[in-house]
Formats: sequence, C-alpha cells, structure tokens
Amino acid sequence: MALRDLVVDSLTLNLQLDPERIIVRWLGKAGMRNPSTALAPFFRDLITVAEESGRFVEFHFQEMEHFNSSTILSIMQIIQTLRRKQLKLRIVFNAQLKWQKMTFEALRQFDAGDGLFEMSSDGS
Amino acid sequence: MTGAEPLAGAVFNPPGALRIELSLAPEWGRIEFIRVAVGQALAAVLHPHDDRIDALSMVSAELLENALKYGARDQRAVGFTVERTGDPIAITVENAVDAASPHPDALRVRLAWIARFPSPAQAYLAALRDLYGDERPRGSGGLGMVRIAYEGGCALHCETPAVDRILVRATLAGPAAPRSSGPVPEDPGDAGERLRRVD
Ligand SMILES: Nc1ncnc2c1ncn2[C@@H]1O[C@H](COP(=O)(O)OP(=O)(O)OP(=O)(O)O)[C@@H](O)[C@H]1O
Ligand SMILES: [Mg+2]
Repeated sequence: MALRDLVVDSLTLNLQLDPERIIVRWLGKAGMRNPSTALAPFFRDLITVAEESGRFVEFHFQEMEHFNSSTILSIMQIIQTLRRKQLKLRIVFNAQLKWQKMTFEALRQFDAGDGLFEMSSDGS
Repeated sequence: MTGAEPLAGAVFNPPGALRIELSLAPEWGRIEFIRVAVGQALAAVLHPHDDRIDALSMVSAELLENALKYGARDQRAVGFTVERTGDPIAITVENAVDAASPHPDALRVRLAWIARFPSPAQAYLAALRDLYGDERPRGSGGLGMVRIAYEGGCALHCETPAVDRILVRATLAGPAAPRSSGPVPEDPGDAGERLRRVD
C-alpha cells in the first residue's frame, strides 16, 4: 500500500513516514462543500498503513489557515475511527493562533488518558 | 445599525467604521473570496493582529455556507453584510428558503439549544460530544452555528423578513480590553502575510 499526498482545492495533506510515525501535515484551507467524500479514500489508506506498519498517526495543523465546520466533523470521525481500531493519534496545533487554540483545545475532552489520543501545541 | 446610510457618508463616520454589502451568486467557490476579503477589510480598520479578524472571517464563511446549503434551490442571490459603526461588528446573511423547508425551524431549534448552555464553550463541547458518540455517516454535524457562538464569540439572531426568506446575524461585541498592542506597521510586512492571497 503506497500512501500519497492528497491535494483537493486549497487543501494539501502532505505525508512523511519515519520509523515510528505517519506524519500528515495539513496545509492551506479546508472550505470544501463535502470534505468527508474528498478525505475518505485518503483516511482509508492511512488507516491501512497504520495497521499494517504499526506506526502511529500524527496530524500537524499549525500551517492551516481555515477549516469549515464540516471539515471539523471529518476530523472528529477520523479521531473516532482510529480509537476504535486502537491506533494512536497525536495532534499538533499552533496555540499562538487563537482560532487554532480554541478549535483544538475543545478536542482535548476526547483524551481518555489511555495514551491513544494526544494533543500538543507549538508556541504555547 | 440602520443599514440605510449611503456609503458616501463614510467620511462623517468615526475612523474604523466599516460597511461591506454585497449580493452574491450562490456558487460555493465565491465563499472563500469573501472570507478573505472580510479579513482584509477588518485588518484595515482594526489592528492586523487582532484575533477578531480570524474569528469573523470564519463566521462569514460559516454563514454563507449555510445560506448556500439550506437556501432555496432556485435562489438567485444571497445577501451579505458586514457592519461596524461603533464597537460591535455584525455579519448578516439573508437567503431565500423553499416553501415548507424544514431548515428555518431547524435553525431556530439549534439557536435555542445553544442558548440553554451557561456558555458557548459548554455548548460547543457538548456538540462535539454528541458527534463523538455517534459514528453513523452523516452529511452535517450541526457545528456551524455553535462554532460561531464559541470560536467566533458572537451572539446569534435569526428572523424571517418574509415567508420565503431567512436572515441570520452574528454580532461580536466590542473588546472589553484592547486585544492587540503596538502601532499598526506602516509597511504591513509580516502583518500582511497572515492575509494570504486567494489563489
Ligand atoms: N441560512 C440558513 N437558511 C436555512 N436554514 C439554515 C440556515 N443556516 C442554518 N440553517 C439550518 O440550521 C441548521 C444548523 O446549522 P449549522 O451550521 O449549525 O449546522 P450544519 O450546517 O447542519 O452542520 P455544519 O455547519 O457542521 O456542516 C442547518 O442544518 C439548517 O437546517
Ligand atoms: Mg453549517
């Protein structure tokens, strides 16, 4: 299974693999009308690679300029799917941007303390 | 906020007053231009590092997305206004709705739901929890309005100016304390960089 970068409209999901992690850098703007349709195949492949390789997933959002609410729904869905499959996810955001701090701090409530979901911030 | 004064009166307004009023063809690709334009206009009248710029850019996009998604199938235009005469800044979207559309009621129910919480932050956390418990595929998560209240810091209002129209307004009260410090740079330099171009 070869994972590839995803480019849809003004959003790029850039991939980088190291021995432990699948790093996905979210770049640009996510204002798609149907983000779940656009993102689903990418997430499906991502999960397969994470399961097969034993790597954990790291989403970097620091360089994102804007998300619409339906993209937040897609992110919630991938958080749930990864947890259901017992795959670890770490989210990194930019706490100096107030909107990112507010968006991502709200997701901390899904950290069940089991090490499967971690959040960290740059520049806090 | 009368919404009736012609722009020619702008020179008599205090500095920092702002009015953007446009009629938008209901095409999704136009939303991003407005989101960026609102950010640029607010940066010009606030401080370029003011957090209200990102907040209200987002609010503009969320309101317009809704007007396009839930507005009448054959609507020709969506009304969009940004207005700042004193400290509060108001963003208003007006769209047509189909006869017997369930959406205006759904919107009122959602606003009432948000208002039941002691704070918008608590409403937003609860909205996320509702989604988290439910993995069924769904087209929309109901996050837009509650996000406008929480992340956008806005009070929400809706009304029906005619049976087939709906108006939604988000108002951000003025800052209790200045949110930014320092003079506005003469050359926008790095301050201008946050306002990235629409490609
Ligand atoms: N401009 C509008 N015209 C008609 N109905 C609207 C309008 N704005 C919102 N609604 C109704 O209010 C509901 C709530 O809107 P909200 O933006 O909170 O959530 P959503 O659009 O369903 O989901 P999300 O924003 O997370 O994609 C919508 O589902 C729709 O039924
Ligand atoms: Mg919405």
